[in-house]
Amino acid sequence: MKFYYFDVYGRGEPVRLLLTHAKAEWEDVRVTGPTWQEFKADKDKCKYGQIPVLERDGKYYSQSLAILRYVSGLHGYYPEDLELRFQADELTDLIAEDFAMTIIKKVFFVKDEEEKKQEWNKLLEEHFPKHFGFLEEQLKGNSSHEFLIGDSYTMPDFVLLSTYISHINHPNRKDDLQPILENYPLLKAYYEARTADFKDYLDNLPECSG
Amino acid sequence: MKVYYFDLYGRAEPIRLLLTHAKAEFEDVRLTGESWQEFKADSEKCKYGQVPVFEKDGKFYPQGGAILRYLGGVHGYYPEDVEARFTVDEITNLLDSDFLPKIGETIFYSKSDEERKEGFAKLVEEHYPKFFGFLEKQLTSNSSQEFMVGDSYTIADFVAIAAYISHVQHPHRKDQIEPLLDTTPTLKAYFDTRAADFKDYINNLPECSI
Repeated sequence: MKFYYFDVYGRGEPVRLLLTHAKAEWEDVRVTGPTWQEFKADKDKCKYGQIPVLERDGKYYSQSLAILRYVSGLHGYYPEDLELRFQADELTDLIAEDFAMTIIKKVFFVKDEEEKKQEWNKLLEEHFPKHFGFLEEQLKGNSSHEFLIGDSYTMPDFVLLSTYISHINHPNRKDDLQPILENYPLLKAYYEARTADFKDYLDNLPECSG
Repeated sequence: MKVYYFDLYGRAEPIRLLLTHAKAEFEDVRLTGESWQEFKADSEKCKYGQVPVFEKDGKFYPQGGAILRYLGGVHGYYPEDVEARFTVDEITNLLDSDFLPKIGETIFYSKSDEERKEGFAKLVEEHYPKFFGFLEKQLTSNSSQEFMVGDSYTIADFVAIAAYISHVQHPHRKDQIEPLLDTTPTLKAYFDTRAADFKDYINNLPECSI
């Protein structure tokens, strides 16, 4: 298996974390500059002109969340029970789209430095507390406080962990975010427990802007 | 069973189409003004302050994509086979995350009629043909040209038909969009065939802006 993505955390990190946890055999291919142009032009490998793309047994899989759900299904992180599966989908979309993509669109994609700073401050005031609150509620209501659903890893845990890497613990953002996290003790404890499972992976993480 | 959303097609239409096809009795609740403020404030019913929300047996299910997959599982529109399910997710996400938002943004967030007109003209020139091409490719490579994946309805079809209602057949847009389908004949035939299954439903559709 090969996982093709840019040299960022972004939309790729949840899949990288999942494959690492599953102890799957896979190659972490980081596409940049000319290799990206070449990959993008190959319609068989890069169907929609976008990455991430997963390659498995000669087949190429596109669309980041479809890939995540696929590898979750392969490795037992996508519940069979429809009610639990609903929760897995609910939380994955909440964290990946409502929480994470909003940050990317409102801050990372903004070019003007002044506007970027203003938008970031707005997120600190409203967006982060709101979503930390949702996650705190989920953990509170769950049978275990150590996982989002049930008592073992499921698909949304990998998405949530990637937000730790991209934002909570990111050198450029941790000073702003860790104080806010103090108000959400279950979430704080969750991050500590889950990242301990990935100690080696996190120690060897390449430094990326986001 | 109830589906709560705005008086729009938007993110609820695929759910309404699925329940209609499944012949499942449901109340189509359209929230506006006051009723929306009231619903939004009820954190039991409206967990994340957003709609659509699906209500069944006293439980409230938020997040449109998660609802669609849940009902897909209940009514047999979401494959168990991991490979087929991947393709359903791929096409669903392609439409939901890549095709539809750009159109919605142009229609809703343009700052003037002039900007909206110009923005839409660009979509007609580039965006629509690109995605019609992707869907044409999916249909022609599928076992059946009458469905997006496999040879029967999946949630991907309900998302595609909803896109047809909002953005292809829509009175405000059909004159510009329908001619584009002449270059994607399989997709054109697909829309005609699938819409015929929903003849009564489509004839009785309320008129919405999107």
